[in-house]
Amino acid sequence: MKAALLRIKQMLVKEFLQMFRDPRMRAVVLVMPLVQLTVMAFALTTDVKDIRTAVVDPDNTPESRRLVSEFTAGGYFHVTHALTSFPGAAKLLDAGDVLAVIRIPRNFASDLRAGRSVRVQVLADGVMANDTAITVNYANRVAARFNEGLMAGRVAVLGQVEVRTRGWYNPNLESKFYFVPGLIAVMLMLIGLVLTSMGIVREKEIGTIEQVLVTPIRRTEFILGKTLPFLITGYITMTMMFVISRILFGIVIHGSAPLLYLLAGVFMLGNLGLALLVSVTAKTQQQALLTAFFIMVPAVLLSGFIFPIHNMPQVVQIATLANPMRWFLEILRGLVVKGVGPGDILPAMAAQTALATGFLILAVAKFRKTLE
Amino acid sequence: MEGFVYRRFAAVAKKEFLHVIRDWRSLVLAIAIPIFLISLFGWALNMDLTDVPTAVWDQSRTPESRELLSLFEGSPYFSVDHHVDSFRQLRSLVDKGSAMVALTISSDFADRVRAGKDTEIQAVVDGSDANNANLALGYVTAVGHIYNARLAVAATRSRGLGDPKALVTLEPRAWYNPDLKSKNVVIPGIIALVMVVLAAMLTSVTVAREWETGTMERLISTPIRVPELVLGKVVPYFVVGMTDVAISVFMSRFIFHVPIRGSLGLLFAASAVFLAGALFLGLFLSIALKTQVLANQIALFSGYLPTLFLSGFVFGIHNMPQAIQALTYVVPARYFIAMLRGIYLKGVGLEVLWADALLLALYAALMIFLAHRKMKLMLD
Amino acid sequence: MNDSPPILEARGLTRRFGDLTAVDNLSLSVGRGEIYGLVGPDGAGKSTALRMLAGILTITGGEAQVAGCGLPGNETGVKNHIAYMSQRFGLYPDLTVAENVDFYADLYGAPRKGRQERVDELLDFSNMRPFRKRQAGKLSGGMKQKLQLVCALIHTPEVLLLDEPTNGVDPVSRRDFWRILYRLLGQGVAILVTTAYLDEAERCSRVGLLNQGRLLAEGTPGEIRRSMGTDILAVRTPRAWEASRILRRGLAGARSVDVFGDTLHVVGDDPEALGQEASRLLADQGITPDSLRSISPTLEDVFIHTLDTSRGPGAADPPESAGEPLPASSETAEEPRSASPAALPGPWSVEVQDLSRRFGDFTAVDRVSFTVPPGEIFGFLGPNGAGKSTTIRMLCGLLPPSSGTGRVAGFDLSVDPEGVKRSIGYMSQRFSLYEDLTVAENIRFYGGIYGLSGRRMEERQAWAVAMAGLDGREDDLTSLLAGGWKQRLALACAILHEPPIVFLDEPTSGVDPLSRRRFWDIIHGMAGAGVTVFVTTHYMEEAEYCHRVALIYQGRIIALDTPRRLKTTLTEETILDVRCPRPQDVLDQVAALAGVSDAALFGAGLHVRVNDPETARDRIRDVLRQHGFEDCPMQAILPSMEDVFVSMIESEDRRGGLLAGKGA
Repeated sequence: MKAALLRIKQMLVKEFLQMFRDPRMRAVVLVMPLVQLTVMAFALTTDVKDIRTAVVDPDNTPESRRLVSEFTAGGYFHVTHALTSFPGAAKLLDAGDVLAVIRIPRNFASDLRAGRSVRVQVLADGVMANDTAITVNYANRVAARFNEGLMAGRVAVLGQVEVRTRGWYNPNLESKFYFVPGLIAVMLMLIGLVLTSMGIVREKEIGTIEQVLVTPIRRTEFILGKTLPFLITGYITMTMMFVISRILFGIVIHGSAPLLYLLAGVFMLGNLGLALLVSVTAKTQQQALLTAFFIMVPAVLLSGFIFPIHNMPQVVQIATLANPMRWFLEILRGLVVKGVGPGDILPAMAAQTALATGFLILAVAKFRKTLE
Repeated sequence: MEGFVYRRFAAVAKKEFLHVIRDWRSLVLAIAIPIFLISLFGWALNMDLTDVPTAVWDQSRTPESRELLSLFEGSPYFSVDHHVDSFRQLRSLVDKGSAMVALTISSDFADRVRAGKDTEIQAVVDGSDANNANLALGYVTAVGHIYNARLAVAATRSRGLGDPKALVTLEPRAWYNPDLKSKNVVIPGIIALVMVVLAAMLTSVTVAREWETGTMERLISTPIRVPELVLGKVVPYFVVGMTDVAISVFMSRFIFHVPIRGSLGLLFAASAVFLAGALFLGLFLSIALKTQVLANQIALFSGYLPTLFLSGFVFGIHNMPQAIQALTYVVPARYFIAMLRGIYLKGVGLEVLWADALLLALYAALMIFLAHRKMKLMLD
Repeated sequence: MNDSPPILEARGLTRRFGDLTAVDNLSLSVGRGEIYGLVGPDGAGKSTALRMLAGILTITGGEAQVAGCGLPGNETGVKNHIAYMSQRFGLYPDLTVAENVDFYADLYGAPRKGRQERVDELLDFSNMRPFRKRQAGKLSGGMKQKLQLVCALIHTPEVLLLDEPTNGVDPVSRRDFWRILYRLLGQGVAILVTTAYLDEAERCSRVGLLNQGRLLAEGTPGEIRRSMGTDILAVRTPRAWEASRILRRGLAGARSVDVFGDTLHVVGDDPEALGQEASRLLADQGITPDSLRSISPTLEDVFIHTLDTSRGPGAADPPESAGEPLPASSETAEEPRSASPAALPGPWSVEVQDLSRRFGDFTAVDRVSFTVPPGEIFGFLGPNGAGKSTTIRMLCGLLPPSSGTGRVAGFDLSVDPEGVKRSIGYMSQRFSLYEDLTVAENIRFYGGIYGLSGRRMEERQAWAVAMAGLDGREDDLTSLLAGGWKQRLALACAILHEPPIVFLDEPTSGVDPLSRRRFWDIIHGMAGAGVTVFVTTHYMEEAEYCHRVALIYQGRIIALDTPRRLKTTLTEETILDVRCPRPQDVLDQVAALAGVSDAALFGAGLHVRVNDPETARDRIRDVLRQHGFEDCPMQAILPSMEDVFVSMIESEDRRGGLLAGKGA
């Protein structure tokens, strides 16, 4: 037992020396994720505001101007161009100078006064699907408010039902609370999966693996020696990422930090299991990388990180059950943003642990076989 | 002295082709990744939020409250899955993530509505997913407005004021993408993503591998010149990359029916320029770093994530903070994605996209220059 | 030698890496049709010099003219006229033989017309034609080197720069390789070659001895041999290592005593007197030498002698330096010795019965059986790809046997490979240290894995550093070490834990002669302490250092005996040792003579295998006379291991061919 510990220790020392000898590698492992996190967290914002808007208002009456001012009032629409005819507006859209056009018909005021319904066109640049949906959403709200005003003018005493909305966990609905934990999960997976699998294949390519395996070292010890360093650096990176998110974005861990660290460990171990599986089948580092990537991409995309899971087809939704990233994201959101207890993330914890255990068992079994 | 010798260039290119073909597994992966990505985006991934899981605590239980709820149930945006009897239950559903929106209707709701007094319903949304929370809240507010309008109509009618027609109806139209299908805008972007990834994966190892295995020492002792070596190394991957582009365009057009409104020729030309830039960046990293792991990691970090997040591919650049917006100017995918969308969805040509095209070409030229500059036919 | 102006000339060539001067003011020249051998210890600067001349390494100082192009400056021009083979395998393993050749042909701009003929000719000549479609990575070591040479020759270069081209190549392939080189000389190519085999250096037109970047001696092999000034006492005995210890200790007038195969070379001022004294000393210990005569020194003698004197006094008393690691190793070897009898049940360290290993259809090892007692040095010889490494891997518990049984240190290979691993040390053929770790870090890593710690780790680390000759370089990155040093460090790491059984797969490949001696000193020290040593090698004189030798070919053991008995009983023919000035010139003619079954270059002469020595002698003399060589010494000798090796492989091939013929 003591000998085994000593051997594992030696493996760790070696791995760390190799990992941190090259300053460029040091940067890749430690600095890159932090830089990426910072830049991406700022960049990943779906908070749509100040939509550059052109207004086509040939009517130009007090009524039409009141509608326009309703649009600008919420802070969502920012009127950059005021036009009197439509063709110019279409050009602005083509060139991407504005993202929305509000087109008020010529007889806006007179029709309204005459008691006729009026159609107002809102053209949103459909190229950014997400933003477009939000833009249209805003526009609808503005129109409804305008109508309410109209009605209120006519029917003097009428109660209004007001929807009082509140965002739990994130009252201002800032997207960073959502994306930062997700980014942390992506970085952890990227480093764990790619670096570990390439590290083992590299030893195969160079031939050092043979020399090591002829020593009394057990295969499990070798595997531990190759994976623990990434677990440890993973923890270091994660801690630094949380520190940065706290300082820069004010994101605090609302739930139990020890539990979070424990579950992050489970997540990383699962990734390392995957990495081992990749390294077993890959002959060259390039193959290892491509295979790791082939796992990474769906893991990220099908995790609910950017795309909501409940909108996916049923089959795909079932497939996401086998995606460790999905569960870890759920855990991260639960523990970091929501601050819930273990009871609320029980399914995610169970699934996460089951997946990680499965990957590791499979990996160790496969790994033993190929080295023989 | 001696210029570019075609024969030597062809020899290098042929050799690289053989590497690509012999390593069938990498080749298969290189072809499979774009197909896989496009299928994923075409079938499985959707940013359009529908069927928001909703929980309701209706304390009123009156025809009025049920009418309000029927508006939610009838909307495609909501799926009212849970009716509960206490705030605790509501809370726990949101905590667990089983419900994204929780509605609370107070017990005096109907009385107040009938009495014509202002009243409130409470909508709580899971803010941990801010983007979707925002959309969901918009939907909730809209439903509230619709209910108010109904009330108003009913009121005017009952007071004999006739049909209230004089309302502003909004006619929202999404320009270029009338159905607001996110696949229409995402799939063109994948072409950019695929190319960056391929370049990072494939070219970033080619030179580093030769240094690691020792073949480079032999290679540089031959009369080969830098341009022959550098170009020869890129050509096969360029072919693989353009094949991927063709596959992507084909799939997007015929399987996912994403319209291509602009010029197909311009699409391929722009792709070729962008691909060249990406491949030479990979090659440059490979030359500069000399080890496969590093070159790969840096290519991946500098290519994949920025292309995904900083190019306007998924997230609008204009929503980003100024500093980050400035940063996106050095992400070449930004220009390429602008071009892709211009060609695919807007149907515009170089008359609008010339600036993007020019910058893309500049980037490619810079990468080609850097790769040549860095490649030394010496050991030290 | 050659009147025409040299085609390669270096003047004051210097290269510094930081404070280290790798090549220091080197001047040399090579003419057309001349082969210049650059020899020297590991890290002497041979590779650096070659790289500069190939135009792929920046020159710090001095200049060179290669094929009419000046360096530094016209690197491009140089590359058009030369071919360079580096120490590492420079071809693409996933490309076939033909594709590799084609690739280089295009790079060198070999014309398309007539290229096919040239390629065929080269492939035929190197016996590679049947393998055109095989991927280069799947060739055996010898074939890889030949293929590299073919790729280098495709454009008929004027200058050929070869960096240890025959490393890790078996004697049969090595002969092939040199045959090709000689043919090139005839075509007026100039060759600059570095080599760790001094018998190869003997065949060069001129030889330069490089040490610490400086040329210590230069001249024809004859001139260099004569520079020693004295004759050498050669004592031939099967117990050469024992005898060397006795003589080192007791022979007062000897400046150095070195082992060459089964022969001791004693350097001293008066060989006659030394001989008498030596035979007396040996007789006291019960050793009667087979022969005791005074011979002219070989290049290797000069090499060792010159290096010892150049190193200056202080560091370099040869017996002491050769024996240096012994105190440590014999002291530390105490443990396995006392442990081994208890630990090893039964009399054998290694016991193998019908061991086989198949990969798919291919049988790499075919029903091999043998036993090795503790303390024996057991040599494993065979051509590249014969199954040596596969056997060793099975014995190390790395590869499970397909069938058959084996016990190593009492542990069954199939049942308890982990038990095997605890009792052995293994040094694989591929360089197996981590290049991105320092010397000390590598040692500590392997030591730790073998369970060393604390004071013992300190001791063993100090021992390993001393053994590898790396004092003061503990903190250097392993990637910066020259080839031979890496090998020594790898050996040190493999035996850090003092295992009772050691497997060494080509431990001395690419190591300079001086270091090889130190290797063997250590090996004999270990064996003396009861450690069983299993070793493979391509240096045939090293095979003589083994207690017993097994010759493996096509997966089967075709001979197993002591070197002496192999040499005396296994060949029925006689070997004639012919000494003449330019043996390569007469080689083909002699080989074609009636009654000659084989002729091969051997050191500075020819070994001719004949049925009837008397008639053959006359015929050979006739040939020599035609070339103007009179009075060349010619004597029947006991065959060397190389003769045995080659003749056995060939007779096996003939038998195989016969069988195949019958089958068809």
